[in-house]
Order: sequence, then structure tokens, then C-alpha cells
Amino acid sequence: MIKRQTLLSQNMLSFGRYLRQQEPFSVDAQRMSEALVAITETQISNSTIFRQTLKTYLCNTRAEWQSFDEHYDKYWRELEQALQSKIKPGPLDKSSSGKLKTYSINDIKSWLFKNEESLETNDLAAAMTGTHGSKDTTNIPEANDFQEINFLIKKWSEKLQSKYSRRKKNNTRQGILDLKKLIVSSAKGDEFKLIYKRPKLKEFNLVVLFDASRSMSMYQSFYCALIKSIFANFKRCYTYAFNTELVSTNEMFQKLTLPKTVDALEEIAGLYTSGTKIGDCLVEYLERFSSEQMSARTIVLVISDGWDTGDPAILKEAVEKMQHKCHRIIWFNPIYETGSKNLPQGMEAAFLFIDHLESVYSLETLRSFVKTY
Amino acid sequence: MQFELESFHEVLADQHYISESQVATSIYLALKMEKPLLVEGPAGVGKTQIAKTLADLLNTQLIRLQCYEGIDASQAIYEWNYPQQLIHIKSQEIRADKEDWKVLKQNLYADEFLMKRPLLKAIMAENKSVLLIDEVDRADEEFESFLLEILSDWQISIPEIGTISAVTKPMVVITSNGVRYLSDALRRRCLYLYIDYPSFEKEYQILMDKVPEIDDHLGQQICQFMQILRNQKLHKIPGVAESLDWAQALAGLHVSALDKEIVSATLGFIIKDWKDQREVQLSLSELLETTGVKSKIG
Repeated sequence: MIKRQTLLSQNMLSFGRYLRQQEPFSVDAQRMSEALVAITETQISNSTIFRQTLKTYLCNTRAEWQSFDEHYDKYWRELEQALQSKIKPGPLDKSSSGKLKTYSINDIKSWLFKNEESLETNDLAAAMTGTHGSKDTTNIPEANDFQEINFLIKKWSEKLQSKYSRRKKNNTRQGILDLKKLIVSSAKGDEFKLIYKRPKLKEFNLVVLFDASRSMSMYQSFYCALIKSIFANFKRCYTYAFNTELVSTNEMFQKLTLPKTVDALEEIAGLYTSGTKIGDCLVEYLERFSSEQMSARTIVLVISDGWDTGDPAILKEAVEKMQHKCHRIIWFNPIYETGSKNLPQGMEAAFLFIDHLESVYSLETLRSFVKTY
Repeated sequence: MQFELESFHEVLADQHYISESQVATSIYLALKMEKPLLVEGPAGVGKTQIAKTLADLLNTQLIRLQCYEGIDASQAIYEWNYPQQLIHIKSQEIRADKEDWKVLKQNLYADEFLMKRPLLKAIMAENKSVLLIDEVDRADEEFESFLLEILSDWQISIPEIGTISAVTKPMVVITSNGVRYLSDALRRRCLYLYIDYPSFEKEYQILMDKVPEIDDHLGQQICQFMQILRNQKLHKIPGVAESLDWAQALAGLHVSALDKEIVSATLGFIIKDWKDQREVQLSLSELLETTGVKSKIG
């Protein structure tokens, strides 16, 4: 039996879960989040295109492609029956701002079943990813705050880029005389020219792993702004949201605006079942992406409150492995009190292998972090 | 160039690519979200044509990489032109104003000696290009894993020059006939589209668009015959490409309607396997009867 939901986006997510239980589908959270972004971006205007978009995103093989329509019809038909039997028509949500219209269940339902005229295209896209999530997006940093965050991250990146590599760079004008090269070039009979070597600046990559669980939702908008700034100031950056699974969010941070990113993250949080498993997600990252993305010039930034329901031994092992592979592990924990010994279970397991544990959750705390780093 | 999703189907039709609306939606999403599009389906259903149509539509160059067993990086990315490099060194030996070693070395790895293969061409293209990686299932698995790196980072490292990052992300269309199963990693990086044989109506539309000189009635007969033929147990089921070839041949012969004699004489255009040909020849009267064509011979 399909559970009735009150929002189209939520229905999409539960449709993703429903598909996952069917053979031969293997819909992962990553794909589902991409589909959500695509639907926001393309402003889908009718049910046929909505179905086709989901088909393009959620199918990976011929078998999946050929059985998709059957499952789609089955799911949404059962949903329609659930709606008809249990729900009285009424507004979806209370929206006091008046910026976005709210739609009744029947409006969305009729849109889904081809009565397209009852909803306006743009408003529907907004309704799908807009203000109806449980998260309060009013605390999204304002333009000034965002600029300040951006400025601080820029400063931090400059501080990082000012570290010198052990390797030296050739230079013809100044630096330390490179005797070895000088001898080799003289031996070859080349024209005599002094060769110098200069220290080379290190370029760091950043891997951001952030916790998209409910317990972190009140800090989400600040962290979204922070990650968007990181994207703007670091040459190479990879971001992943985690909770019970790992989801790449690069595209989301690159393509969506800040409020839309916060909303999309909220949708991603809805994809997960309850119980954060930090260790399992870090293991997944190490297995799937670390060989491509991690080196001695990689800084891993973990953003999490450390509340973990997984096995602490797995987390400990994963963080230890990660520490060996990267330059530094920095952990931003919004609930950590500096010097406190009472750490959540997850933090306690990982504590030994973290290079910087900081309580960064606001502009003030970010400022002091950048100052002391 | 901006397109509307609702009208994209017509935009493709304007470029003489007649497709189901699902195909148009998938292509639009790949364009809009800048994702590679993996197109699977039997041979001759118009997978490769997608890339050609897109190149025409975007008014850009089509860069094609035809995959085959044993293809490797030097055939797909770049190669140094060794003979020319040697000639360059030799010419330096003769010249009075010899270049010193450092300059010579630098000149040896100059752009003029670099033979750019399709992937590098697509990465270095200044304007958005369309990169067609055709029949990727024919290439080895190693090559497929190698493609993954390019598809995720859009950059290529050449030891002598350094890393070259894409100026603009090319629109990538990857086609596969399903000769072997492609890895999940590659599938994850792409949007998926499966194209099957077209319906009677679609095939008729395609036929009339591509071979306008053909008679309406003959067009319908061809499409109906092809639909029936595809339901037979054949080794190689004919695709749309075969229908078009056949229609063109019949138009060239000034045929106005199908009959057993003409079908039998031109069967080679649609059936490419001798066993299949023998089977079809044996049951031709029956097939034509189902199509509604009466034999002149009897």
C-alpha cells in the first residue's frame, strides 16, 4: 500500500523509494536528487514531461526503461485512490508571505493526471521545491552576511594557498641557485645561464562532507552559504551530503541559487531513512571516490554534529584511513563546546584522527576560525 | 541557444529528426543539465543521428569517436607526430643557428607536433561542440574506465604539456548497441535513453520526411512490411536505416506499389543475413499477404 503524501516533491521521493523496492530498479539517492534539481531547473509544465524526466533520470538499463511506465502508472494510480478515499480538498500549507501560491492536493493531482490548466507552470515548479518543506528558510543568510562569509572563505583559501610545497619551481631570475641543473646543463655544453629554484605554492583541494540529517537542519542555511563560498574560492572542490547514504551535491551547489539549494537539501534529507550512519558514509566515500579525489593536497571538511547511530568502530577506522590519505581533516561541529570532554558517540570515535575540531556554525565563529587557522 | 522543453520535439523535427516525445525530453535534459547522454537501442534506430542533429541544431562541429575492440588512449586523445619531430631534429642539425637543447625540447612538444584525437579536440574546442562516442560497447572495459575520468573532470593530462581543461563542456552523446553490458559507473554519469524500433506512424513520418519523392501508398506498404518483418525470428532485425535505403531504391526504380517480384529482387536492402534472406524468401507470399500486397506472379 502506498502511503499518501501531501507534496509532489515528497511523492516523488517516495516514488523513488517505491522503485528501489522493485526489480530491476536500483535508484540511488544521488539520482533522485539530480532528478529533483532537473525538475526545478526545467520548470516542467505537464504530466507527460514529468514522467519522461523521471524516466530519463531513474532508469539505467533497458530492463528498467521498459518496465518504468508500468510501475509509474501503478504508483500514481494507487496514490490517486489514496487521495480520493482519505483527503478532503484543502490548502496544502499556510503561506503567509503570499509570494508563492499554495495548491490543494486536488490541484496537483489533476495536474498529474493531465488536467494541466489548473496550475500555472512556474508556480508549480515553485510549489514542488519551494516553501512547502518543513524547514524554515527564513534564516538564510542575507546578502551582506553571504558576502562576509565569502570574504572569510576567500581569506582562508589565501592562507592555505600561501603554504609552500616541498617541490621547487624553476626560475631564471631569483631564488636559490640550482647547482644540479647548472652542472647538467654545463656538461651538455649548453649556453651558460644561471638557473634558480624557488619554492612552489601548494594548491589544496577541498572535499566537503556534510551531514544532511534532521538534527542539523537549523544550521543548514549557514552551511549552504559556506559551501557555496567554498565553491567560489577553491579551484577544486567536491561536496557530498550524507546521512544514511552518500549523495554528491556538486551540481546542486554550482547550479542552484542559495534558497533553492537549501530547499533541495531539505528534499535530500527527506530521501533518507532515520539514523545517521557517518562511518558507513565515510567508508562509501573512501571506496568510491577517494582514489580520484584524495591526495596529500586534499583537505577534508566534515560538517556534522557527530550524532551517529552506526558502529563507532567503522567510523573510527574510516576517519583513520582518511587521515592517512589526506593533508588534514577539519570537523565543523555546531554543538561542540571548545575543550569539552562530553562528545557525541560519533565524535568520540573519530576524535583521535581529526586535526581541527571547531565549533563553526555562525558568522562570528567562522570569523574566529579563519583568524586562528 | 535557448530552447523550450514543450516545443523541443518540433525543434528536432525541423532538423528532420522525427522522434517520440520521450526522446526529445531526454535530449533536452542532457542539453540543459550538461550531462552526457547514453543512448542504447538496436542498430539503425537513429542513435547516431541524435548527435548529428544536435550538431546541426547548435550550429557547431560534430566530433566523432568510433569505438572498436582494442581502441586506446593514443587513438582517442592524442599522439605525438614522431616522424615530423625527427625531421625537425634533423633540420636543426643542418641549420647554422642551432637551437639549444632547452629550446629544441620546447619546440619538439609544440602544438604543431600534437595530433589531436577526438577527445582532445572536444576538450580544446572553443565553442561548445558535440562529441559522439559511437558504439562504446565495442571498446574494452579499460577504455570505458578511462572515459569515466574525462566525463567527470573534463580535463586531460599530457605529461609534456600539462593539464588541459575544457574551455566549454562538450555535449556528449554515447551510443551502445548492447553488445556487452556497460559498467554502472559509466551509466551513473550519464542520462539514459533507450530507443526501440519506431511505431508504424513514426516510421511512416520518417520515411515521408527523408524520401519525399516516394508515393504515399508505397510508403505505407513499406512501413507495414517492415513492422511485420520485425516480428519474425530474424538474426538481424532491419532498422529504420534499412527502411530508408529500401525506400530510396524503390523510388529510384520508379516503383509505385510493392509486389512479390520487386520485394524479392530488392530484399538485400533490408535483410543483411543470408539465412534470414532464405527464410524470408520462403515465406514471402505469406508476409506480403499479411501486408495486403497481392503477388503478380501468383
